[in-house]
Amino acid sequence: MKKLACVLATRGRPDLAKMCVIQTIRTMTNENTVFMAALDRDDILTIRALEDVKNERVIISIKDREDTIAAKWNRALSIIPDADIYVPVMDKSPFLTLGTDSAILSAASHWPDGIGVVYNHPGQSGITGFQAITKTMVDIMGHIFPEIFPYWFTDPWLNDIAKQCGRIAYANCEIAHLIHQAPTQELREPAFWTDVFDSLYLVRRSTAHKIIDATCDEAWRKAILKSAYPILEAQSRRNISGTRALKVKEPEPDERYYRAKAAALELVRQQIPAIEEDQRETTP
Amino acid sequence: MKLVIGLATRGRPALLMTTLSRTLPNITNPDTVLFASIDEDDKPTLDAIEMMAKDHPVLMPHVEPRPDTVAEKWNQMLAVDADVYVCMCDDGPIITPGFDQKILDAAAIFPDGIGVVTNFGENFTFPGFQAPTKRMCDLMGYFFPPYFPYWFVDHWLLDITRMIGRDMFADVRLDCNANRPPTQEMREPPFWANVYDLLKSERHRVATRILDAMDEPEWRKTMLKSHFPHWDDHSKMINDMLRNGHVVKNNFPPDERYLRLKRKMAEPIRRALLDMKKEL
Repeated sequence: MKKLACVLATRGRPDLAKMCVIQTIRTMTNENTVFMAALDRDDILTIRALEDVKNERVIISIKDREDTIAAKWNRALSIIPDADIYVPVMDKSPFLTLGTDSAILSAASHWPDGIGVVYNHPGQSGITGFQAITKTMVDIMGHIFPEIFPYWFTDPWLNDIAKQCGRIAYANCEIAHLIHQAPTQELREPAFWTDVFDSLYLVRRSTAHKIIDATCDEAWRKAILKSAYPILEAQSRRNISGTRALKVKEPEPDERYYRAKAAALELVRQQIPAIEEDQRETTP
Repeated sequence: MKLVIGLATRGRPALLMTTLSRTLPNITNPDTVLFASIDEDDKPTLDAIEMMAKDHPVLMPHVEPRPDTVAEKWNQMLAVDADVYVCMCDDGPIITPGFDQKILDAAAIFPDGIGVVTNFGENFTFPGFQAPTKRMCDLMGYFFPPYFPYWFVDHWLLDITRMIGRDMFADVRLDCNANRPPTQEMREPPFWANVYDLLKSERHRVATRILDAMDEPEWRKTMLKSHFPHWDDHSKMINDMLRNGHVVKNNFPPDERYLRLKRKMAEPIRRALLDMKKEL
């Protein structure tokens, strides 16, 4: 039986986190499924709340708070290295459908090379409610999500790659969207981070092409997939552009945020020569 | 390989002439045909195109009584035998030199002759052109479905293309910024958005038929078929923008042709509702 790992990244919302763990566990029907909750060492209330949840499926990870939300999800790679598929979970989006884990594993079982992402219905982002990523794909990417953004942007990042690879399967499962009870925390400078996201399109493209090369797809199929990036990148730019205009009441930046920002700027700086080269090639 | 470019136009000869004069020099394959569908009652357009055809043998004017849908106008090009068909509008000049050959070269990659060549998302992330192969048109039974009086058909073909996972990119560019005039006779967009969403089972049937005919491993067909509901939801979100009135407002009174189409659509809608009932 394959092993699925749900990975919850949460902070400062103990009741919601506890509800998410209990509700999601209730839906699990595959005996090897586990649920990891990634908590911050200074988030005492959430740690205490989850201590009450006594279930052999639940793994609690407590660490110093990382600079990016992706790093919290990526903890699963060292804590549950033997999972076959990882499903990042948010505290506001517990699973609702009984057997969601089995449905995801079943959808993923069709890939002969174990490479792909399982989606459900489009969620509030217009992409999908969840993204379940196979271990083989994670290994090629080097992470579940890239450790670049302090909030958001991880799901459109993976969506861009999964679409370019043509490896999306579907599981007909519902999850909750409790966005009103749980707004995005520490939402700062969305326009800046949207620009960072856009600027790193070549990183996504090269990751996608690396994955395509690793699949068992036929040569002609790989050629079709690799040809599609201009269409998909144009869609990506359009889809993400709405976040640039968001008006938010931003909390004061902290040291952690400045570190993430400096790292992102350096990453973008490193991309500039490649972007210039790409623009020279594609501008008629 | 041979390409037919299907042009649908009505009542704007000056715009058409500009578009054609910018497109025709970029056709390089001697076998390419530009099939211009003109309505019998659209004399100014017919005069203009016949005059132009004298200097451009690639132009094939085709006159018929005005059909009830714009799709049927594009579908007329299927009467000319070819390997690939591409749609064109009178307000979108194709400005890439040798674009016809580029489309044919891209289409040559499909090992079973099934697929669609597209370019960038020029308009609301819909591609600027769509070029399905002959075999794909045969399997669909049309180039575009004759269900909508305007719009929606490119969305339909895009959904089918995504469902079968056969979109091949060609770097062919259109000039879509040249003061495009508004869509003609645009009526009841929310109604047609509802029709579009309702007909999802029809799209599933078409996509399944094509997938079954494709030379693909079974696991990939299963993966692609499993993903149909996601595309339905995705399309519904796009159509929600129309329903919510974010894009356009209905501003054109109905005519006989329009009412006839609405009556004709009663049967496909009834079938779709039965499919939904079965699904539930």
